[in-house]
Amino acid sequence: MGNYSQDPQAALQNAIGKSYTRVRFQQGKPVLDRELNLASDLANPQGLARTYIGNGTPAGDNGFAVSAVNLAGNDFTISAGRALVNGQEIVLANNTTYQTQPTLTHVGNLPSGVSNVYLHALPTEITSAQDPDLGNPNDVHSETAVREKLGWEVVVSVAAVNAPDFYLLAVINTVGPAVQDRRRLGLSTAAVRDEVALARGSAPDLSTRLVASLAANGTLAANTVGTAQIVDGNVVTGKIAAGAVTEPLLASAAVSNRALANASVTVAKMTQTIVFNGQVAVPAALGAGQLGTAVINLLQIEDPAFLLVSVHFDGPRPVLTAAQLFNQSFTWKMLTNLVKPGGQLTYQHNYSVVIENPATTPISVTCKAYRLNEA
Amino acid sequence: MKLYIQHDRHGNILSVSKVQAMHESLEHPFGGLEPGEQVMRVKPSPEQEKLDAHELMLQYSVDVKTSKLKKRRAPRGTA
Repeated sequence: MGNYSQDPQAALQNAIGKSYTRVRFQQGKPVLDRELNLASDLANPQGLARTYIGNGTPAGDNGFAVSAVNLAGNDFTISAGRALVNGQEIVLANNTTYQTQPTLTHVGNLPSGVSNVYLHALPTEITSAQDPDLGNPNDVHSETAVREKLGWEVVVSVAAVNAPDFYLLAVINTVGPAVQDRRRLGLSTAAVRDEVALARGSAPDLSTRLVASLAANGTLAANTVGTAQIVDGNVVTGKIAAGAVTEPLLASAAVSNRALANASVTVAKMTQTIVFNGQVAVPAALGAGQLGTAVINLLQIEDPAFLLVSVHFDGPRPVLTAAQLFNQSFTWKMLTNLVKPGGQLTYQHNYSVVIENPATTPISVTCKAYRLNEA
Repeated sequence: MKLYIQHDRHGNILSVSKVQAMHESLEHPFGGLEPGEQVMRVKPSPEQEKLDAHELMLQYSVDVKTSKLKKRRAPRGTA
């Protein structure tokens, strides 16, 4: 440290603690080194930049980009450019690497796995010992003032470092290897202004554009997503909750013959009324070539009836061996009579099933009949 | 289940129907009744419920006086 009457950093912190903003010199008074240093430090924009701008990379610059991880050499490339760290600008004139950068104090092997790459600002004091020009060799021949120089080092740390003089450049992973750029790019008021203007679009301000579709907590506002926002074909079966599509949501005529899967419409899904379900004995034929007949009335109404009828052979079913064959048949048909029952003035239709048994033994059949609703 | 018996005036069973469901417009399920034929509805016994309709027709007749089913005599030579 130079030869000061008071540590400049301590003097600055003391002045800030007292809310001092300027140093005013008075006539006829001696000038003290600590007051000159304090005047310079109070006027330095570093504190303002550190507090109100933060670390970052200026717009249009690619300074200190990390790339090309070389696992064998424990190295990676650091791009030339600028960065603002702890309120001070660091400039790298030419590309360098982790292993060949100007300061190598903390350079070592890359940790395996994920680690953070930081640009660490290192202000150092320069005396005439490092820079002979500071010894004023052409006139007073002694050192009158020292200089502060901003050095830097790119360091790798598995642990996160949260300090204003550490600027996170990237996260690297030796698996891959992979580099994730973490620099804060476009750090200039103009760049931020341009981005806001671009984001604003045709809206009068950015908030107007955002509230058009987003709630205050960032979720989509109600009724924001309409048909136009959904790409054709984007709503697939997996995105529809089970039971979400109900009958009221189907447009009239939305379900066509094409949209019905084969075998998907069963009798149970049709509006219907069961009009007969029962087993009936059909008498035996009196002789060969003759028929035993049973007539089953299904319903008696005047209106048309759309009937689904099944007639099923129940028995007899003789117990046979696997080798023995069995084949017995009967026939049935629908019969519609127009009748006028006694005591009534109106006609009605009598819908019946006629079952004919050619066998000389009686049989049992089950008849099941549904009437489908026409409307 | 309801049991409907179609029979003649002598009690011979012409047809039997074990009905699970029937349209309200009908009194019984049999059509084409001839003169002298009748239909009666009975509550089947558990034994009768187990028989098919044609078996009921073969094994029973109608006592026309009491309107009840009665077992027919087994033909000679049968158990």
